Amino acid sequence: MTTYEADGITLEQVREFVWEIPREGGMNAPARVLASEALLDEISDDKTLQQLRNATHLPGVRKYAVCMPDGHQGYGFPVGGVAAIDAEHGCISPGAIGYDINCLTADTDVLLSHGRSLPIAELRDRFESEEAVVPTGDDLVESGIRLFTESGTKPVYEVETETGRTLQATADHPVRTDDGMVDVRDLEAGDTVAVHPFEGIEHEQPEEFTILSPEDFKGESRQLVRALEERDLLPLTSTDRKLPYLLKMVGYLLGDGAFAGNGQTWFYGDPEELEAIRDDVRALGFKPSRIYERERNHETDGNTFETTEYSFTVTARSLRKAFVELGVPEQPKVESGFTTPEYLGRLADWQKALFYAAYFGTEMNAPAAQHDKNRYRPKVSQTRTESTADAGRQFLEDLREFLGDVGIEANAIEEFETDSNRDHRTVRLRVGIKNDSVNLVRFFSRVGYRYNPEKQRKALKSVQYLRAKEREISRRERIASEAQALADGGTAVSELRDGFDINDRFVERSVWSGRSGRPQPGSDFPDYDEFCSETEVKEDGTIQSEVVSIEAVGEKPVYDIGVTHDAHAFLADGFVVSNCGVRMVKTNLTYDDVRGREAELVDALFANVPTGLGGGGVFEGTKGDIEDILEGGVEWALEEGYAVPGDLDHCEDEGRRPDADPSAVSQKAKDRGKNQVGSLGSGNHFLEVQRVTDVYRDDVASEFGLERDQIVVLIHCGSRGLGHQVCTDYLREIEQAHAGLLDRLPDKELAAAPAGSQLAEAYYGAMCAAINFAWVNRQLITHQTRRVFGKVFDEDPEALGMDLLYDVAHNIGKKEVHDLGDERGEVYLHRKGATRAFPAGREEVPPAYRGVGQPVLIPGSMGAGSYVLRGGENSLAETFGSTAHGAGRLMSRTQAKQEFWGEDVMDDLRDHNQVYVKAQSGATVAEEAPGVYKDVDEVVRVSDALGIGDRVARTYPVCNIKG
Amino acid sequence: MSYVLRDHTADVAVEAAGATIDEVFAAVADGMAAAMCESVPGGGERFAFSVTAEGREPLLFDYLDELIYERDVRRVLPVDNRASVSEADGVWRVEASARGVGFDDVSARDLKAVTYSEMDLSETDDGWYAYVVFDV
Repeated sequence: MTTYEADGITLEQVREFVWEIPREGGMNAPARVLASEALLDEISDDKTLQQLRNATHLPGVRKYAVCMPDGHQGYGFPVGGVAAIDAEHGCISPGAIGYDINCLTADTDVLLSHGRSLPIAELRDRFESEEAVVPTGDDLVESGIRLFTESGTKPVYEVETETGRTLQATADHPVRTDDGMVDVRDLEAGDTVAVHPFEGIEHEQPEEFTILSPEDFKGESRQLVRALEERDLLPLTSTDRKLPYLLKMVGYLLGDGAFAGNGQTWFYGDPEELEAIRDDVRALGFKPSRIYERERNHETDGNTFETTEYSFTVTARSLRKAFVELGVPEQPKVESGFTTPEYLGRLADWQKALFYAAYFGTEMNAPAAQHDKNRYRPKVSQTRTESTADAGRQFLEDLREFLGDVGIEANAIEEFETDSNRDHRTVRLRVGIKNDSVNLVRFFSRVGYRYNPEKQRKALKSVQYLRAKEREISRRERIASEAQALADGGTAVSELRDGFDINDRFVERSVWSGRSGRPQPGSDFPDYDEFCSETEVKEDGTIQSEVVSIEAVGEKPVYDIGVTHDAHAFLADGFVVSNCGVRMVKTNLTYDDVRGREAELVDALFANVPTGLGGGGVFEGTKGDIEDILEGGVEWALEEGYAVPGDLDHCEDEGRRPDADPSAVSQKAKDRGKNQVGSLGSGNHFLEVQRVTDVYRDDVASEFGLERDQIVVLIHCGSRGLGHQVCTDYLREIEQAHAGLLDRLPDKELAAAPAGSQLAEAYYGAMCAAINFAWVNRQLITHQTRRVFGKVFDEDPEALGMDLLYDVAHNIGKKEVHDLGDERGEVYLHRKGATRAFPAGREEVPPAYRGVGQPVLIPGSMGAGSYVLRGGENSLAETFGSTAHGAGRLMSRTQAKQEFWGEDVMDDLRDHNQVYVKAQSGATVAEEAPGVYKDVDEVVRVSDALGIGDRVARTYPVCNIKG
Repeated sequence: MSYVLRDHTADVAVEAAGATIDEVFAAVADGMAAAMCESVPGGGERFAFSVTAEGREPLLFDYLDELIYERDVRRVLPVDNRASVSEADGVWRVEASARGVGFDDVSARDLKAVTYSEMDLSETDDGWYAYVVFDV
């Protein structure tokens, strides 16, 4: 095998132009370099290869990271780097109270799957096999945990809400509020935060034993047994991953289920409830039927009324048989003598809770108001025949015992004689939950109802209400006892009245007449129904709760976890910077039309297109304007008269990133953007009038509207200070929020926001907004260019055919779907100094070019010209649809300034190459001198040979302006 | 205090030294100005600002970032930097000032952002040393 040695890194040649750094150490994927040996010599001359290798340490890098032929050293990720980062693994974990968990104290409980909880510090040794519960706003989803980090001792704050619940977290810990995520440091008393009142039961590992073994299925068909074996349901042990689902379903079936012929198991309930059960049926590996709906007529006391009954069925003899073996009776329940399944007593409390909570979901009455006359209590009852009454008593005794074990008191079993059954004498057995506030809160927050969203929501509201009420009663008790103590000590009642934040009568009663029992909440405290109608439970079970205090509570060790969560990945900052990109505007002029007028043209362009530091912008906006730009992209420009409709059709994403979130862009960034809308900036950014010198593919060139000698304009710039501020802001935030992840990466500049985290979401929204800003920036420069051409050539710009060929970013992170080797999946595709190069047929390519492939613009250096390519047919397989973005630097800026003198470079270019250059700063010209770049021809040759970006045309500069 | 502009393929690096941490902060900031402009004219008003951060390196990063921000919104090139660095209860703070030369009076180029890449800020036998790469 041919290898290439470069400063301790060995590259193996895969085939011509394709080199691979094998995966080793902390790399999550191999790395590839696409280059000729000549280019590889240049690439290996600086830290490009180390940086490429470092980048593969990012969690979730898929298939391989790729370095384009023009790659060179950047910061963090190399310029010319492409990485596809898994879109399924990320890092967000709002736990028990709807927060992102990232800097919480050791005893903060994290809500896990199946109603379990554990203090965060205890997740250290088991996080990899755990699932946390993540409120997404719409839903509560279970998600694997990917990261656990201890972040050392930090100053910690305690946030207390109106219900008396507390959270201890660091100042930078984000908390969900009405206005989005807010750091603890920015919270104030009176703000509302999202809390999830369900606490669950502490996780414990159950004793290991077999619940179902093949012996239990003797006499059943081989097929039935195999159906269970294939789904990992047989043998079934106490620690099996699927047991929790079965426990819930068995609990439910003891209430609202029935068996029918042909192996059917029927579930009855509300549609919402049935949906939840259907999900679990699927989790077991079976297929639920759709939900059936039928009208039923009932007759009670001579009145008939109609109800709608909903149900679904699972047709599987194997599952039905498993349910029976797990304790669901085959006969009608009243007569069946069913009782607590034998195995239940040996399981862990959290497992028992699943069984009972599902049973409560069908059988227990919903939470309701506590009126004096109607003392509400949650209760369940069973009707039994005389002969099965003992089984019923046993079931309810076991239930009481379980509740007692988890700190919930239930009343003794009550019995009522009934005679409603024609055939047998029957008895009704009943158990209720003791209805003092503390006990009810425990019941609703630890066990509650499963599968019944309506009852669950009410239970969550009840928890909030009862906690708030309890807090108010405690406050009043304190006042009463203090007032009494002061009065006993001789303080006059008249003085006491003013001393407390409560009405006078309360103080008087506390001192004079005393009161029997605990005080009641005041008259301004809402009653239950009022509270419930004012309180909204979000789809994910969170409720808004008011913050009453935030206090510093000293320094404590803090922890992070990060959970995998749908459609999110690690979003790496630092390598998606300024959304810098290129656009080409065509004209119907030829080189002959321009010759002799270059000086005039370059002066006019320089005078009308802001360049350099502090040159201002074409448009000076207010904060509101900037927000509109961030939101609307080129659509904003069209509305404001800076664009024509065709510009939208020929821009990547039609000129607007829908995922843009202007609110995620800091004020600082917006401030910097205000006077830079429509400006080139400095560095390697430029505007160039070019002539087409070569056409390599006539058919594609003709589709692109390019021909030899045609004049075109290339504009290369990004989102300016705004984009850079966005990058800097998030880099710093990520550094603070995810120090644990960062510590494990080889370069701080690779700062990655674990996806799904609020920060990753915010960063993606901000970056997309900055992309819109970059497009508007290039659009306003286009607008000025059209005007300049109109003036210089004394024509209506429209008559000059100044249509946009394409606008494509080469510093961008985007959600895209790609082939990842073993599967297809959504990734955050990071292109840092690499250009998207989608081939013909790919959906994202604008209709105008879908038949031939996406135009790819490769700006070269001043003396060497540029290229127009089209996305090559191998690009998807080789490079996630990417190719090079330019020539790539060879020489540092400082060295360039020593070797070149701006004036000389300009004179040379004019005299020898007929290229007219005008720049704000001579130093910039020296820094960008042709000799400092790699040979763009060689870069493009490799791209073309690999079929990732095919040569269509080559252009050569006529006039160039820069900062 | 002193600074040197160092080679970096795509970007520019500033290497600075100072007898104290205050000096090295100011020296990096002056180096950053030098990366934007070869010869600095006189004139311009001084302006002051302060920045806090959770550590020494983050403070240097945020200080330079703030200078870039002030540059863009005040539309001046910040030169002749002065800095005073302190720490209390784990919070690092720099009280800084700079002379802001109006953009109209200077021929300067943009420098886009400060980076953490290869950043070094350390105490040496002779005082303090810093190395910062800027994105240009």
